[in-house]
Amino acid sequence: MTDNNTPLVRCTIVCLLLVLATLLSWQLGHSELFTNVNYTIAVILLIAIIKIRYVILDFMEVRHAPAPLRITVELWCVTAFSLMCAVATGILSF
Amino acid sequence: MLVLGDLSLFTAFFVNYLNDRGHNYTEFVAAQAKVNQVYGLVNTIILLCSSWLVIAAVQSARSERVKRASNLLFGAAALGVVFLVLKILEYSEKITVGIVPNTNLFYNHYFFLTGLHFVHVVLGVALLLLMSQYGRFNAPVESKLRNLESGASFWHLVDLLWIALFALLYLLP
Repeated sequence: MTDNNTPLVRCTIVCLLLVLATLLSWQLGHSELFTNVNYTIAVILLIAIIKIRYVILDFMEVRHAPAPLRITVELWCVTAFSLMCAVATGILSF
Repeated sequence: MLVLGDLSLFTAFFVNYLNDRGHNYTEFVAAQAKVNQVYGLVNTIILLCSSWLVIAAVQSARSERVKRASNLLFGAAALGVVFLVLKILEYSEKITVGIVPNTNLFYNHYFFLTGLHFVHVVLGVALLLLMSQYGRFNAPVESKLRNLESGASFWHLVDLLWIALFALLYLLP
């Protein structure tokens, strides 16, 4: 595990960026930046999935994990975002 | 494996919620307008800070600073308790004005998803408190570190699930 340790400094920076991203998505939820509400939905979901990706890679120390685990995580991020975005914007419906 | 399983299960719940939201958009947006977003925002920042404390604790444990690691884990657990108190306040505000799980479909999802997450936070806090006593356990250092890392991963899972819930239940227009 020692070789995979994510330095505390990097995690501190990531944590601060995650707080900033939280405030950004909060602001987006209140603004009318996009005339089409689906764009706002897509951007809020994108920010959420990017935040989650950083939590998994840096906080859970998956960034330097064996390739199969890292690839699984990256695939989950892409799939979860695509699926949630498609359903939330009405492109996909069950 | 537990983390990936939990993540997959919650992803299915999220997609189900978004699907129902799409079918009942007007009703969901009207119900969501009554959710206090400040609670969601503050709780997101609380869990991120708590996660940072857990990372610092694991790093301290690796460099054999047992006392510091225990204190950091205790601090992370304390923030978890603050999260729970705020969540209870939020629930009580809703229940006081007659909003309960069967009020409408949005609140059905809201209470189910946040309730399930609440249970995760309770388990996580208990785990963090147990982990804060790891220095007293009579086990090889490597084994204790591995357990600490597993517990830390569970707490980060609690954090990332809330990141998604905050976006879905509080922020989406």
